Amino acid sequence: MKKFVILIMLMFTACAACAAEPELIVDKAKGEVIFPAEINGKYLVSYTKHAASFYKGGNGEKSLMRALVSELDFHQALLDLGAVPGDNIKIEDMKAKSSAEGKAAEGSKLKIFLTWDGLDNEVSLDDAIISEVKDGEPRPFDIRFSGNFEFASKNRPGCFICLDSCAAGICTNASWPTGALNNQEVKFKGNGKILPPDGTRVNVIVRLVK
Amino acid sequence: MLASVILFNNTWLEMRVNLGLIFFALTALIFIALRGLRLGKKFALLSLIFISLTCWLILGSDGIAIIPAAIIREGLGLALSLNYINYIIYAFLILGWIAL
Repeated sequence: MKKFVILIMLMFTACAACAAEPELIVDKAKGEVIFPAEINGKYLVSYTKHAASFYKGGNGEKSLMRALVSELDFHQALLDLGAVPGDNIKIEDMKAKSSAEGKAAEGSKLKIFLTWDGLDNEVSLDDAIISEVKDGEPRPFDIRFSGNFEFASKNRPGCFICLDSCAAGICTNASWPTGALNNQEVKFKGNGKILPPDGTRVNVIVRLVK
Repeated sequence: MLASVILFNNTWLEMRVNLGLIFFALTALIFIALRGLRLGKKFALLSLIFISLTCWLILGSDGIAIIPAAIIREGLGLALSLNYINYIIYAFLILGWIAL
């Protein structure tokens, strides 16, 4: 029995070693970074403020997509691409009671697309995520390289892409300043009609807008 | 589970707290509190109907198949599929019923 258990454990170890390690791809010629992630089905039916977070980070299970590579490597990849971090949102700014009092993220402008096996084209973040706005129309995403490396490396929330302006995410959304979510001016969730089901591996393409 | 689902409905709390851990902590507390009591199949059936119905009213048809499993997955800290967790929930319910 003991030998059988050891054999099973060895088989699992061998399988784990054979499995391809998820990779972050930096394509300087195309001006894009691609990271692998998995869909979290929870946020196809409920609200979140995170588009993607590192699965080992504090917000790994609080995000529409579980990124399979580290957010700190992602930050470096964007620097390698030539993107400039905004680093203008501080943790005190997150206490804003409404977007009118809040601050919008700065930094290099980015466009985000998703793709997965069986899909012929790319899906933009605007199509992948539903914005429910209290008063007014949904705003197109204005994703910026917010930076926030110091906060991210110290606290490890794991945030890759936040859906509002934020002091924690490597990339955040300048369309909604800090305070917008505190005031429930907008709510975000995954578009279940477009996105694949829970657990599906997707590639997230982050393009630098020049 | 009903308590976790009610807490889940508060987005502010859901974004900041591991509700799966709260679910397991509450389950353990209820298990200890009810230890030694023989509540019977009637109580089990009524509580199952009440909790399922209330969860369905709160979460809707789409949410009921996803949210309870997602709460448990978060508590376990494992990247299991939601379908797999739902099968485990069904197995627990059936085995629990047989054990009564």
